[in-house]
Amino acid sequence: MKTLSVHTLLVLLCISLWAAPVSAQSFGQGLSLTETTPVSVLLDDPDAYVGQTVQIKGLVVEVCALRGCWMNIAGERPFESVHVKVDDYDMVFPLTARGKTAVVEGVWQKIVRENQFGFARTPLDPNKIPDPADRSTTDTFYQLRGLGAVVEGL
Amino acid sequence: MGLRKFSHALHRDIGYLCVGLTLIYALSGIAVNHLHHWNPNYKIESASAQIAPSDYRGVLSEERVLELLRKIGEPPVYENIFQPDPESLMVFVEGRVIQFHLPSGLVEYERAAPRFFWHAVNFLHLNHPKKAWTWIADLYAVGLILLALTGLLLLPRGRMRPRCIFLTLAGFLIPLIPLLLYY
Repeated sequence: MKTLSVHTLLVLLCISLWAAPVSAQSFGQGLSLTETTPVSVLLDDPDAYVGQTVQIKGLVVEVCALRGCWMNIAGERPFESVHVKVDDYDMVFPLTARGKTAVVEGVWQKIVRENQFGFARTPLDPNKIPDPADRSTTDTFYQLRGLGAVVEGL
Repeated sequence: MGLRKFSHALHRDIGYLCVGLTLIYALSGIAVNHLHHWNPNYKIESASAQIAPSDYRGVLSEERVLELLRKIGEPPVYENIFQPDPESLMVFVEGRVIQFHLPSGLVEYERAAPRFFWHAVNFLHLNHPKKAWTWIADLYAVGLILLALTGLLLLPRGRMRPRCIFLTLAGFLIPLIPLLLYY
């Protein structure tokens, strides 16, 4: 009887280990929202969400290699991603998070940046550099100021 | 026990207690100071290859992705893919990132492996664990303050005293000069 109960416990332990969810690593404040906003919804009407705390979910496609202070999360539609920025060393996203799925919460921000040259980032292809007359002196982009995140499979 | 003797005992014991933590913080401090020279947390292995350029632009089908992997001799399996733009493809497979640039045919591989020692000391120095480590780090800081103050009480008598006072004052000037220059 004693042997049977030990065996039963071992089997239950094995089942629970097998059924355990894939490991996930939590960053910052973790997650508090219950609803996820699709990246495509944010990008379709970015101004509507400025200042709001939102949760997004997607594939981690790029991570800051030196400080782990930002990562880019892919959207559901092709060619779309969202930049997630955190204060240096507040959260440190590991480079090994690339290719994993992350759920991130943060405040949706609109950044308007003055730039000296008429464009914030010089295009790699010289043919794509706009003519001086067509250049804007400000650069607007949207990002998520990360408060907490969970990366699955780390 | 007189104040001098007590300071000496305290200085000695705190000193021994702080050796390990001081090495961790000092080594990590040097590493983090030179982030622009090297990446202390990860060893990044990269390589590149060349395939025939392609005129295709747009969303790549599963067949096209597998074909690209076959062209570089990779098994036709991957974990995830992402296209940052219609000309590029990122393939995530077994901790590696393989990037294809279709117009040029350039393929770049990258694998990031944590440097165990440096990753661990930076993990502690930059307080990634938070929780109880925050208190340990605070106690260590208090230990350093005590170490400094008890050290001052150990100023030797006699001919050595002026020299020690001069060195102490010089130590205060070291942070002041950069503050005057750069702040």
